[in-house]
Amino acid sequence: MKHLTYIFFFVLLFFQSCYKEPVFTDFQYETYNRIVGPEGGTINFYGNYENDTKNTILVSMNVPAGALDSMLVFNMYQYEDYELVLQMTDGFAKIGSKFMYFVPFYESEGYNERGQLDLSYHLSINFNEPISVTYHFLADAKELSVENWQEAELYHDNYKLTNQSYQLFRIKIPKLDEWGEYNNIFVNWNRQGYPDGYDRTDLSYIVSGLWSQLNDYGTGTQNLENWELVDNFELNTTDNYVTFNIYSTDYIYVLAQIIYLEPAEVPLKIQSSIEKKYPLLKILRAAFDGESYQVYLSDNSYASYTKNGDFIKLINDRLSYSDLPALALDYINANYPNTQVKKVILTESENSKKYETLLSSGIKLFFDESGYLTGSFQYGFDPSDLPTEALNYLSQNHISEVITNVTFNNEELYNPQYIVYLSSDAKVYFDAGGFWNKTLYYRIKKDQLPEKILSYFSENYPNTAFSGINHTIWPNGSSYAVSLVDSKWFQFDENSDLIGREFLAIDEKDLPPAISTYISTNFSTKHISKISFHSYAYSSELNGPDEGYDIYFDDLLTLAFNPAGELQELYGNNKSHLPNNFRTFMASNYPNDTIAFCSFRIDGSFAYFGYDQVLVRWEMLFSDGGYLGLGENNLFAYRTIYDPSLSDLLSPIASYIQNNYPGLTVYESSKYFSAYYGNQIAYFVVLSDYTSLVFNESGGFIEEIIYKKKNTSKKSIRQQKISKKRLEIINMLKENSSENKY
Amino acid sequence: MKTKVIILLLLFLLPFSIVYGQFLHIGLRTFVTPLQKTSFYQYDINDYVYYFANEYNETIRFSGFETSETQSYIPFPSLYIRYDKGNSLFFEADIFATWTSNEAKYKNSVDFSDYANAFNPDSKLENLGYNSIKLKWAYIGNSLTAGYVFFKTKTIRPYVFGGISAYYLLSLKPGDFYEDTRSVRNEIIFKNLNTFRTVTLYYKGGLGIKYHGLSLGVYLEKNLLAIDKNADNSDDDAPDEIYNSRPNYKSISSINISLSLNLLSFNLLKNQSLK
Repeated sequence: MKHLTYIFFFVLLFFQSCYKEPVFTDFQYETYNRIVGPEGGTINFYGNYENDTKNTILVSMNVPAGALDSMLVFNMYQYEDYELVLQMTDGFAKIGSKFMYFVPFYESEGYNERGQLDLSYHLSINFNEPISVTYHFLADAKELSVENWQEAELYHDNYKLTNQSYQLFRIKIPKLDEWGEYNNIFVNWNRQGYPDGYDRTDLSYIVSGLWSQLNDYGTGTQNLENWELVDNFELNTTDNYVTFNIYSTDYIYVLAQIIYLEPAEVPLKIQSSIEKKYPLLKILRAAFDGESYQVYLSDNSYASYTKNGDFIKLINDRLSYSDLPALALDYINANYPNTQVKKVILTESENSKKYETLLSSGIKLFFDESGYLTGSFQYGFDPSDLPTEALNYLSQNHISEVITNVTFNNEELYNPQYIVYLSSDAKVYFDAGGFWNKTLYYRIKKDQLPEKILSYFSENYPNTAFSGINHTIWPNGSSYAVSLVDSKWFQFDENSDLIGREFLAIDEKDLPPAISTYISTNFSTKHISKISFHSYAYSSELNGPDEGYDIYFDDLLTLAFNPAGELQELYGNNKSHLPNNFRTFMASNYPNDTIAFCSFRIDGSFAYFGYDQVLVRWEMLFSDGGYLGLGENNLFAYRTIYDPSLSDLLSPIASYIQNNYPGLTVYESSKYFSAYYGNQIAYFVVLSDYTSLVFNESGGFIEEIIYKKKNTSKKSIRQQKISKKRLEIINMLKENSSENKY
Repeated sequence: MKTKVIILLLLFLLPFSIVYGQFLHIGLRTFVTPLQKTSFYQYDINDYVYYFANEYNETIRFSGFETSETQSYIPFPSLYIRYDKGNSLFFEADIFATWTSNEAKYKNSVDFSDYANAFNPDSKLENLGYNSIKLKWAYIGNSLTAGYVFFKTKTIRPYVFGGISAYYLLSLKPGDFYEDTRSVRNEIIFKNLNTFRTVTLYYKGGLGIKYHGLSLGVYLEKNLLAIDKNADNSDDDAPDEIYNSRPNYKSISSINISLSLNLLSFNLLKNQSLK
């Protein structure tokens, strides 16, 4: 029995020694929670919910001691709304991050019980000391998302493009009853009875200004009233974070670039153009995105202008069926009697108008100003109606694939085209007869690229990833187009030789030194918002390879350089946009003129005066509406004033007009250097009845010109584009003339 | 604490030295546990909460663990020595092994659809740790019992018995079904659940029937002393002990069914084996 006792004890001691404590990592709850009290501390919100071992910090809050009076639990939310971003981009702000905000609650109160009505509202807490917040706005970005393509698109088209020109804004969250009793933002509750951020509609209304202190819920029009620039933020676009202080829980934070312009901020050249073209319409607002101006008008239409101030088009997409010309209505009634017209869009470009009509069947019909059909486009074309040749081609070359869609593009009526979409992510193009034009494989995989192209990327861009690869084959060749995730685009020919590159967002440090020097010398106080680079191996006009940098500044100045650092083009709208030496030149030669718009093109553009065409490098619009053109070496080329009184003209010219054209007024008077009349200064005067007169430098009459539209077919495309500005003036004359008839 | 355990064991070994024995049996036993019930310390609704700082503001709330009930029909092994004192009284010591698993349940603030979408989009995983953490336990134990067998003239004889068991925790770890991608969160939760004592004592009592060397018994087992390392802190509301010294496990009770077979029997008076 004694032995049994001993054995029992030994067993006990042995068993007890068998237990081993589990091994834990050093990651403590204290580093992973979101509670902080009066003693202060750090809260790190991690952006890797799907894999918490990565420890990617999304938002970091550094709470100083004494900032809080009691224990608080912070919830952090990032609001993202694809539609809202599109809405804001349409003339208000380019959004550069998700909308980030905090929803706090007192730890002592908890928050999980639905029905605690006081917790359904925004809890406004002012901090005793500012809390420093660092927001890593790309930390949880999804580059690819099958389920949520909007998320991936927002990343690529918005957040990833955020650069130093973006600023941090805060958007007001109303305190309880601050905007009126019962006019409060609500907390969303999920199915577990826990808060899930603020109501998405409420947030959308606050961001877009449909709800503000002045506008009851949902009654306002879109505006930036609730937006406020945050002071002293530090934006780092290399590591993609922004650091700032918050003083309360009453704001939503977002990185954005305001593109909104008040009507008064629209360049005078455009204001003048709108006034002439659409005298009955007012400018409501405008937007400039670095490339073009969108000017929103009082009839809900909007006009597009280039950064140079040239008119592109006017679009009115709020027309109804009855606004179509009678001929168009007849055509639709006759050919599509049982089809509803879903949308009518009128596009007015230079000298033409086009109606685009979308039918409920998916067919788009295009009509000209008179209502004649000019083209059509059909999505969902019946594959069995494809021409026999096309069906034969498909059965021979793509027998195992399924046709997912066919479109019939007949926009111009004379060159219809069928596009067949295949299940292999290929688009096959056929002409009207069904003959094969080309095949585009628009989503091929990396390993399908030729070895030579892969080597090019592994050598030159080893740390980036492909975002899209296209392969196009046509009867006489093929090409590859490759896009990288960092906004770089490449094109290779059938021999896998590089023939084109476009980099949409390159860093300032990657600029050639000559360009950096030019900018630091002439525009040292200005801030670059975007730099793009292009290079095409194939010839551009007569000047060989086309290669250069476009540099956009956040105050609308735009510069274009060739790789050698020589300025090729400049677009600006005040004297600070002029290079130093030219600024001095203007100050001494034209001290009384205020620049409203200026442009420079090294290869020049032409201004037309009767039979003369004058080459200009610098062209300026002054605040009085007059133009100045300078040629090579800043030599005088022309100066134009509009609506001058007779006293503004040379007295012999004024007398001549008074005597020979009584009752007419002068619409335009230009002093210019004429080659046509023997390399001398001449005056070109356009009267209100469209009569053009030419005088010599002393005011002596030379001749009267009946305007005939110039044949521009021999001009290059570029020259035609440049001459648009002159045509615009001529059109104004026409409109003015027709208005006077009534 | 260890001293207490040793003294208690000595008290239960005492009968072996004072009784005048007759037969000594060595046998094998197997037992199953149709019901094991674990109860936990209860806490205020805002007391035992994890506020994790992740994108979903995930909040795990142990609003008092829900009572855990598990069952196991695994035949656990046991080796015993039984000493018969006369025809009715017997004393027994055994060594056994047992293992089990249960779930500590909690409430999760994230909607299950969001949670499953993040961690189990293909619905391939069995256990996501959404609102419970699985605990896997392994013990070796021994027990001392005394019993009384009725109807000494019958072939089939009912009996009652009672005693004490000691369980030695060999292993406690979280279940292995969870996604590795939740390891930080799960470890934080589990770390604070790892408060079970390595040695725990239970009393047991039951009844059975005996047919020659074969016995079938049913017995109840319940903890005798505290089973949580931090049981002494159960009334302590000090804030710094919220997570680090919080007791979790309050009691364990189980119903077991055993089948025993004497393999070797010795007649201590005649000093000879019967089989």
